[in-house]
Amino acid sequence: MTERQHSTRSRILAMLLLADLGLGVFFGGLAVSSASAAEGEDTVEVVPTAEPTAEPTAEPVAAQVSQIPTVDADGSMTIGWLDTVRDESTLNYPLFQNLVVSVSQVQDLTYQAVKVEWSGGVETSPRELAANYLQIMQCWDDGSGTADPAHCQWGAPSGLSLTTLGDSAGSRSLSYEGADPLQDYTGKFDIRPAPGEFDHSFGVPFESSPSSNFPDGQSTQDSFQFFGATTTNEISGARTSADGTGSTSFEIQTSLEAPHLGCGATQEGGEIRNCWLVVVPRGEWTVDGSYFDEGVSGRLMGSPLSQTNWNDRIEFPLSFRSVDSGCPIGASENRTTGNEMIVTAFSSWQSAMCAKKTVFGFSMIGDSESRRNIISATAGAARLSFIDAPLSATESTGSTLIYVPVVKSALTVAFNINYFIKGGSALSYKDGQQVTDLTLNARLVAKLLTQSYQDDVADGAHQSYLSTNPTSIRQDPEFLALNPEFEEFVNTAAPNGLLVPIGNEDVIAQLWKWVKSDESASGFLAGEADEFGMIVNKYYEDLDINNDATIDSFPKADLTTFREYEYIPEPGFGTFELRPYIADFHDGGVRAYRGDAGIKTFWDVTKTPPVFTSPGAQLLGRRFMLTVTDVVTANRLGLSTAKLVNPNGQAVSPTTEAINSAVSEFVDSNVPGVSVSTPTMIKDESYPLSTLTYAAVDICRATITDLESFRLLLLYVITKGQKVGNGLGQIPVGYVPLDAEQRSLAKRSLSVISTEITAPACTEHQSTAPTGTVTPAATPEGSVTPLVEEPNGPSVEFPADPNPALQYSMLSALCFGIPMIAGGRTLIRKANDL
Amino acid sequence: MNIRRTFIKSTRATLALFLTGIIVSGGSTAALAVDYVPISGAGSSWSANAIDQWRRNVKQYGMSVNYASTGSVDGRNQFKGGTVDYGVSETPYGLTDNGVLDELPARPFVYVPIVAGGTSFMYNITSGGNPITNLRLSGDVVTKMFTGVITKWNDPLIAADNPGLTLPDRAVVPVVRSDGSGSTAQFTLWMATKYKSLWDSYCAKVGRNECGQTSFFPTTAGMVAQPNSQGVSGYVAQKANEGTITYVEYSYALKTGFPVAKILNDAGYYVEPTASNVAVGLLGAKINQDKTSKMYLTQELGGVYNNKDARAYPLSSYSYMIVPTTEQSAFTTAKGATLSAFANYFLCEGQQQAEVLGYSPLPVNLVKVGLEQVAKIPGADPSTINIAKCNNPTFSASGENTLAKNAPMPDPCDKKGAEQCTAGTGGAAATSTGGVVGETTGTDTTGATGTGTTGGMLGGTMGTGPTQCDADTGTCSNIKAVPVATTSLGWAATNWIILSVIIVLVLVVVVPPVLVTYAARKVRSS
Repeated sequence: MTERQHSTRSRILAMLLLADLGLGVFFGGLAVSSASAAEGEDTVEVVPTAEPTAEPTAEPVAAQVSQIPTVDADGSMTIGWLDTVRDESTLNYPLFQNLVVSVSQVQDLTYQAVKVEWSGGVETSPRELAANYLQIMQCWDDGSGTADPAHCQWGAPSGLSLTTLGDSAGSRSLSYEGADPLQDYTGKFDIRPAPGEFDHSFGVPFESSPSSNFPDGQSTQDSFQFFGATTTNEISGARTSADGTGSTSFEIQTSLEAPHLGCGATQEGGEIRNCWLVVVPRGEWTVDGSYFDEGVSGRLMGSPLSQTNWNDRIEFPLSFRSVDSGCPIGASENRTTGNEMIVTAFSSWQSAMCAKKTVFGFSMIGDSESRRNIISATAGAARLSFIDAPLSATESTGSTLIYVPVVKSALTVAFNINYFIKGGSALSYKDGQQVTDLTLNARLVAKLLTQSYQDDVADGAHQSYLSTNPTSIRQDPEFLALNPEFEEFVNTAAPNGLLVPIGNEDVIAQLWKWVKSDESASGFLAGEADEFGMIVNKYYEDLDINNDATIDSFPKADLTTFREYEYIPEPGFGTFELRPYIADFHDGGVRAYRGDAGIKTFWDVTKTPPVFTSPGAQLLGRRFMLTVTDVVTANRLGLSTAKLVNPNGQAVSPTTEAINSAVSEFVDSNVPGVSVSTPTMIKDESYPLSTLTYAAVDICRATITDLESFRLLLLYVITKGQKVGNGLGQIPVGYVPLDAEQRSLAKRSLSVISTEITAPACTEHQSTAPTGTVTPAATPEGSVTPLVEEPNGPSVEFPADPNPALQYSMLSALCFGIPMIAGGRTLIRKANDL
Repeated sequence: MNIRRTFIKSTRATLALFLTGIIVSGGSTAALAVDYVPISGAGSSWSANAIDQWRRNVKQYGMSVNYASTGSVDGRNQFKGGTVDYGVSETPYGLTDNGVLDELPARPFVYVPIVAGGTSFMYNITSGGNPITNLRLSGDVVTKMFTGVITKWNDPLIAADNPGLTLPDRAVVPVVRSDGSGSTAQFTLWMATKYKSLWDSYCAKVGRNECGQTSFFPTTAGMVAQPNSQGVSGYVAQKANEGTITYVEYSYALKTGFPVAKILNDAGYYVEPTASNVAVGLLGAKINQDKTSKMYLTQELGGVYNNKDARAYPLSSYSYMIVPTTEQSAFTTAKGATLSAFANYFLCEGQQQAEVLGYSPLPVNLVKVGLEQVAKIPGADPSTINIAKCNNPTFSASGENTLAKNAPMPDPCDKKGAEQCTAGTGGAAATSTGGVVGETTGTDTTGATGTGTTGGMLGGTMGTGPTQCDADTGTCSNIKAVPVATTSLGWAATNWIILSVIIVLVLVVVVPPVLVTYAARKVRSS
């Protein structure tokens, strides 16, 4: 072998070795990254950039972006109408040229509300949506770099929007052929008449996003098989104020709510489906060049999907979190119960645990029912309950209960109110905008909860016992003093009462305690008039709420009924038709968002037999809704929350700091370490309706198997489950994570569970241990070490899918192993030679 | 030398690296989740509390199910009109109500039983300022209260049922449903069957001759009509509304914290509509087994009303889901797949929640035929619909209803006679009303509920998962933390093998060079 041959061979060998080692390192890296990715939902994910992927060329007259929109530091995105190249000769150009729209969040989206705000617009026509408004919709992205009108959820307006919109303005219909010189009226846009009919029409079909059910998607002119007025998130018309600004919240839907859009679903090839939020400004000129008031209704006609209107759109690229649950149905669920404050968090934890193969079922019941249930002798009763206060000493006698603090949050009064300003007011520039600030004190809440405003009682204007009271909170001088802008509202603006749920919950008791602890509010409840002569509804005075220590529900005590006409049978409608209960806090939020309080006061003779039906939802842009709900629901639906006046006289919003401050003032219960809310707070920043929820576990009544799964759940809950965010297993905004002290209490309680699993002390468990059927075989990791003591315990606690990690590890090991076997000796000798 | 150290160090680091990768892994591959599409339905508020909980729980499986609790009549009409994917009703189509025939929908459909429960009589009455929570009523007295015959709470007939109570001189205010309601249909059917003359004469009096079973309660002065179960229970639950009594599913009494009347059964006991008493009551139900009948699977409740078992609650019944069996423009196979998966869930796992909520789990015979119906929904995946995998709490090897079999006998003080139990009922169970607290044998016997049977028995014959029995209480249950049997196996076998292979590899990597180096040094030093 020559020198040259030798060196060539060693070079090749060295290169092979290097390549091989490189490969090994690469696989090792992959092993670790896939292991940690599978392990940690809390790892920060690399979010795809929100930039359009390509210059749009797909459409004949596609919008040309001259400035690529970027995501701001706070996650929002702002786009000016002129950021896109526009045709200056279009009639609406002067109306749109200054329009700038921003969307509060465009990445990492889940099912949630985002805020859409704009400025530089032209004031919307008064009352109806005749001209100058925005239309907003969600569309799926096909990768072409721009939104396609056939991919948009549009064309299912509510009945009421229809009555204020021009012909076809809320639909997919393209009116007559040639109306829009830029629109294609052939092919898929051409709706041929059925045989025997002559109705030849045109419309933009809806094309669904490809999914496992329909791999190629579906195209149809009958979009109602995909979405309708009750399920769509389209905004038929959002109003612009005189100052050119406007805002609205927009419900973002994932593929769970709208599978035909598929946003957040994993596509073939593994990518997550992106979507668009499209804003189509509507000016004063229709597509055929006519002015808006020339039409039959005097309102702007035509669909926003018609090409000329579509070209005026502003489109925001939306990226989503994956919605895939990875959790197949069919496993037995570990049963739990709990109150509504925990529902949204539990839903998230439940999905995360489900993906980890420990499946839980949850029944939402009141706290007191949960407290009865957990110690009930009934076989199969849930042995874990989420409650805000522990069982009393009497109730818990003979039980072995532990309490694990899990999360903090708050109850709130949420609102969805548009400025509805009277003529000539200095505030008229705000007309139609969303009100963002509202302050309520305990007495105002007492007034709302006791049907003391005339509007809240059937024929209240004619009830003698309410004669000195304002018609609604909007007319109450006490309210106006706290919220002076409402002085400028038109007289008819008023809420449909304050929506409250049926049922009993600890947090409702807490609300009443806050109200009663306020001197003026308790005086009001006792019958004292306020400074303006307003008195409590007599039926509530009779309830003597001040002396009802156990009140944990919202009474509706006024039984007055009313019928407007003789033909309506006795007794007409009453409180339960006029101010019906909502099902729960979440229902209240949804109703406030939609402007529908569920009122049934319209006598509908077309029904058999005739019944009271709904007079309809409040008009878009003219809403005045108030609801009792939880902060999480309010936040999710984009509702604003009222500031409540705390015992220290401070108006406080339910922020993280305010909730933490209030919880720090909680007092000891009968169980050491378990603190509960108190109406007597002294800190300025404390929010009165803050909650701290505990998981109560009956150690001995639960089986060892139950305890095993509870331990897994709670360990997750107090570690990864404390991260605030929209991801799987995270707690949505509105929840406040535990502090160090609460965590250490949680860990102490958890170690009791762990100890009981390893060394059962309950007689119930000792006899079963020898059978061997309940040994930790049930838990995949087979480990019963007291992991709660480990501060970052969960790293070995929640085994994730091993396959990628294991496979990469094996490959990595092989890459290192083979050269070592072959040439390890030489290598080390060479190294020694150096 | 430095290089060698670095080399060894990096080798160590690499080893640590992939060992970490191995330690943090475990378990087995997740089955892929199915793509579900949202479905919506409307109807019965009687069943709504159960349906709402199921909807909430299936979210974790990626399923979005909507439900509007608008009453049975509305549910049937909406299904007929094609505006919903499924309807829920206590009564079938095809009945004539108030002279109007409720015609069958044009779209093909079947009935699927969904959950059982007791139509309970929730009331609000106090004595000396304290709420009464142990009221008992016999059937004719209830009927008379809702037909204007008994108008005062201190009526001697009510007193005869309640020897332990002094009832006030207060008007009886019956609260009935103002909307078309399955609860009303169930209640009026019971009255029309058991107390025909009372009911017929009332109907005649209010101008609706022979009203029989009706979804629209004929009202009269002194009665209050409210929309929806929420409306009637919410109305009675107002402290100020003393004297009121309504008919509503038991869960609403639990939800609002109010008591329900114990109703006298044919065995002479006053019983509460608990899950087990409803299960016993329904043993008397005849199910229409004629597969060719348009009423297939609907219930004939005469045997429930007259059930001679001491534990039977007379007004026990179940409600149905009305599901389509063909595709229609708005009902696609994708929706069918979701609907059938949801139905499969609530017939099996979902029934576990029934009792806690105030319902009674469906017995095996109804679940079995229910699943057969579910399989007819277009898009249903037959491989997932399997009674052997159905985790229903009433199942037993013998086919008997576990819940009914182990239902506790009523307390002696619940027998018609001079003694009256004082323990509270329904949502007011934690309270008691005056006098000596009766022997609570109920508590003792419930301890034995599920003795050696719950779920597990089925396992014996049908091969479901392992069963764990508590020797003290005799309670058996499936081991719940092993939803997928391969999960634990996966780690035990495969993962250990992989780990040992890796350890061997590590040794192969590390040992030879070290040995060689050691040998080389020895050679050099020598």
